[in-house]
Amino acid sequence: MNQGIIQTLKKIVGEANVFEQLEDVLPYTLDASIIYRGVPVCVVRPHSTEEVSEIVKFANEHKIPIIPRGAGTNFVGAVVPSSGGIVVDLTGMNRIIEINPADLTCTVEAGVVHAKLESELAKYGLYWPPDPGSSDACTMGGVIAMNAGGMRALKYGTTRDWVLGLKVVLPNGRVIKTGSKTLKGNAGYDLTRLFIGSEGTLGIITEATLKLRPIPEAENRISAYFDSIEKAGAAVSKIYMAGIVPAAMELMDRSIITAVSKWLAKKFPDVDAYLIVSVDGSRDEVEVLSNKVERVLKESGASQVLRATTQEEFNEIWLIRSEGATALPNVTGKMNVTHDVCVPISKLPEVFKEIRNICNKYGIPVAIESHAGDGNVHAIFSVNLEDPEECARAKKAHDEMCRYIIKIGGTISGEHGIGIDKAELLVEEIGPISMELMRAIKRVFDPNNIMNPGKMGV
Amino acid sequence: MGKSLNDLAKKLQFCEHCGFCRSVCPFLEASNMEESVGPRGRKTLFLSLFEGKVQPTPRLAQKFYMCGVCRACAVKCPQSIDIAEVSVHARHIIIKANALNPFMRKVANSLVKGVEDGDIFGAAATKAKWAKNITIPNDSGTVFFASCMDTSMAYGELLVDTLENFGWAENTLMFLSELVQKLNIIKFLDTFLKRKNEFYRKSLVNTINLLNKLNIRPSYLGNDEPCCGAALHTYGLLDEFTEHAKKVYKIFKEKGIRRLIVHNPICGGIFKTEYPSYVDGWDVEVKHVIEVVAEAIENNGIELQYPEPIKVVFHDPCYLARFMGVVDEPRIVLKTIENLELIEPPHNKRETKCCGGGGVELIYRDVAISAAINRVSELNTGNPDIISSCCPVCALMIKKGIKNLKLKVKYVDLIDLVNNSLNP
Ligand SMILES: Cc1cc2nc3c(=O)[nH]c(=O)nc-3n(C[C@H](O)[C@H](O)[C@H](O)COP(=O)(O)OP(=O)(O)OC[C@H]3O[C@@H](n4cnc5c(N)ncnc54)[C@H](O)[C@@H]3O)c2cc1C
Ligand code: SF4
Ligand code: SF4
Repeated sequence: MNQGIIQTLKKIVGEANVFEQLEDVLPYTLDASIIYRGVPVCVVRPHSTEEVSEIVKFANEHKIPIIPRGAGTNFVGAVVPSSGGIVVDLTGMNRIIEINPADLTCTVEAGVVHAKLESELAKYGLYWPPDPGSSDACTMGGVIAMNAGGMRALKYGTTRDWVLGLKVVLPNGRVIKTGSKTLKGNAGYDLTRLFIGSEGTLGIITEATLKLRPIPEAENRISAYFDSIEKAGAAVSKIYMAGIVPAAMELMDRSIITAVSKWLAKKFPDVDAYLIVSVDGSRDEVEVLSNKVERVLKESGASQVLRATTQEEFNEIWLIRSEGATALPNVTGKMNVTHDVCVPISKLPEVFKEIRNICNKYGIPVAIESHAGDGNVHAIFSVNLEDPEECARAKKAHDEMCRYIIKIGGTISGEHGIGIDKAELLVEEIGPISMELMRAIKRVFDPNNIMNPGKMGV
Repeated sequence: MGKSLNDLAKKLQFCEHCGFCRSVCPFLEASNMEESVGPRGRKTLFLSLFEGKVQPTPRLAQKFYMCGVCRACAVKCPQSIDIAEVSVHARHIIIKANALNPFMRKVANSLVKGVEDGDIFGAAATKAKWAKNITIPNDSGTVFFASCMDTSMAYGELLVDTLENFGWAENTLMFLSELVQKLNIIKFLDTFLKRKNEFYRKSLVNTINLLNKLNIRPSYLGNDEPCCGAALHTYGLLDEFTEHAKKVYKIFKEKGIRRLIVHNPICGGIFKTEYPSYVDGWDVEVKHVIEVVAEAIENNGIELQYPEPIKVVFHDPCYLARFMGVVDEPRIVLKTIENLELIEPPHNKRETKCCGGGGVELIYRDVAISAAINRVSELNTGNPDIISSCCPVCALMIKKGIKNLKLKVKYVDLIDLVNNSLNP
């Protein structure tokens, strides 16, 4: 059977683009979740929508699972071939098809790397606002299929707000175009947004038309230290209440500050939390906003507020943010396992406290990093992945945390998605009726359940 | 000897699978981003090999030999994971398991023999020829290490050219190359390669000239100069490298050498970053010529002027920037040259991008040439008259890139540029 699959695929994409030996496919057995693994029958690398369509048509006829894959940087096992099947690696489809500065749009193939697009757009003074931290590696197909967010989401929204239309290969191999190239569109059900965040379960995105913006003229950063993380969380709401919409608000807790301090052998104030507020706009706007933010932070009980006045200070303020993920494993000697939840921002103070309590209970060290401006919290567990008992404890802590988040009206994923990791928890958040509706939608698109089976609980 | 495999595997457990290394690997880019020949793929494969989940095979070898050991990934990685090191150790395991294909095994044999004889291209008989018309003292504790790659790169170029055109006959070519050595017709070939030889060797003559102008008179070991063994190390012939490195150190000690000045940053890089972990008590100071020149210029302020106005882009060789850690000095020197406008390419200093060499050019020619084309396109973005660098392999690959892209820009060695700017 496998030989037959491989021969057919070779006919579709050419010998050189089908990989079936263990040496070839091992690198495709995992993603940034690290813990989930699965071995595919083969990996195929198409270079056009037509090839993708042929591959999918064939797989559907023979009911072979298909796993669409970008750069494999998702944290939830979303590209792990847990049921074997064919990994369709889209990273070779990496052309920027067009950039239309006059229309404020561009069209790209799915495999274009986010950072690459960013640098090409910058040549026209334009950008695409969603800014996932994985920009250097992640593909636009992956970003769209995961509805990725980023630091600017509090002001600019997530991927869902910046995609105008898609070209998609459906699970039966047929090709559709959704949406339009216009900045507005209201023609029928919003299929574009249905595919955004569908984690490869409804079809393979091969092209996307994106909405762009001119790069803001200026940006500044203001940082503040707080003696309690709860106070820092409260400061976030106060900033909005003062009429300010920053471009980003990033919060790091004591564990991260200490880890970076040790890692870089650099002294930081002995505090519980560090908040960075970034503002953008015209030069004048940024000046006014920076003043306001500085004032509000001081009034919120920050022990030290610094507003960048030079490029060095601007970079320096970011240090704890940029080095946190690197410092943690080096200091703890354990792996970072990043969990992502989101809550109403007024709840941030109590959420920080409770996450610490839960992790404490299970003896799992936790560091908190938060896109605090939109209530998105990343709880970074330090776990020895070689120790099954510790992994089991970490899983318990994770599940308890998620259930608590659901209880207080939050969501189990702000931006990292569901994948395998949270497939069982999803129904607890959305309820059985919504879950059944989602499964029904899945069946309409993919009656044979070939598209990324086992993901998202559908 | 070097790092232990356990330590290496442990370090790799810190990999977050973020894929940032994917964004800088020149050979991954040249392979249209196919994961299994990129740094993150190599990480996964190495751990699988270490854990016995995959066996050493020629197919596996391909994954690790398609790495230029350029260390771009190590600079980019948030955990400073160096996939160059991973590749070298994986190659070692594969070689020990006797799992190379016949051609690659032949390359290995020829490297071992070459290094032992004092010239990796088997041209030991002609390696000191470049210095025959210049007087060099032989009693100084500071030695100019000319490097067999520099003295004999013309043979390397011939080999790469031939493989490029007749790659399908790679085993036959290796046989012919052995035959050349057996028949001892190297001297004849040397004359045949006159123009190519001059291209590489004149930089050595110019180095001595330049150093002398700055009142620095290093000695030169001539035919006694050993090969540094860099090729053994990168090819994964670590047992042979360990033995060889000890021998080299012994020669240096016997001759009372305390300081080396290199032109070829590959030798410099290996001496500086690998010898200390393979040779007990390694205490030889290693400098690149450009460091010495920069220091002399800063101290004595000599005047440099290029004969006509030119625009130069400097390509940092991986070994100079990332192994030797030298990035400011070439710029300090180039900026003092009147008439010369220096432009920076995308990917510069520690973030420099490999020329496509790193040994890949011998085995996976198409990928290497693609990488060279990618790099030369970048280097050419500011429309320079000259692309300058100071590594024989960069020189070869940049010339290949220029030729493929049909550009009018010229390649000139850094030291040649400086030497040509000396007031007569
Ligand atoms: C260091 C780091 C920082 C991160 N920061 C952020 C962040 O700030 N915000 C955020 O939201 N996420 C972040 N992530 C998570 C991850 O990078 C994003 O989810 C990203 O969008 C995944 O893109 P990818 O190309 O790697 O997709 P993959 O991981 O390859 O795939 C993700 C999902 O998309 C599907 N898919 C991929 N391509 C296609 C396609 N063409 N058609 C259909 N389905 C497809 C896959 O089947 C899978 O379900 C981060 C990850 C890392 C490692
Ligand atoms: S950059 Fe480093 S941590 Fe990230 S995938 Fe590559 S080796 Fe792993
Ligand atoms: S050392 Fe260079 S060629 Fe090798 S994996 Fe790293 S970036 Fe790629």
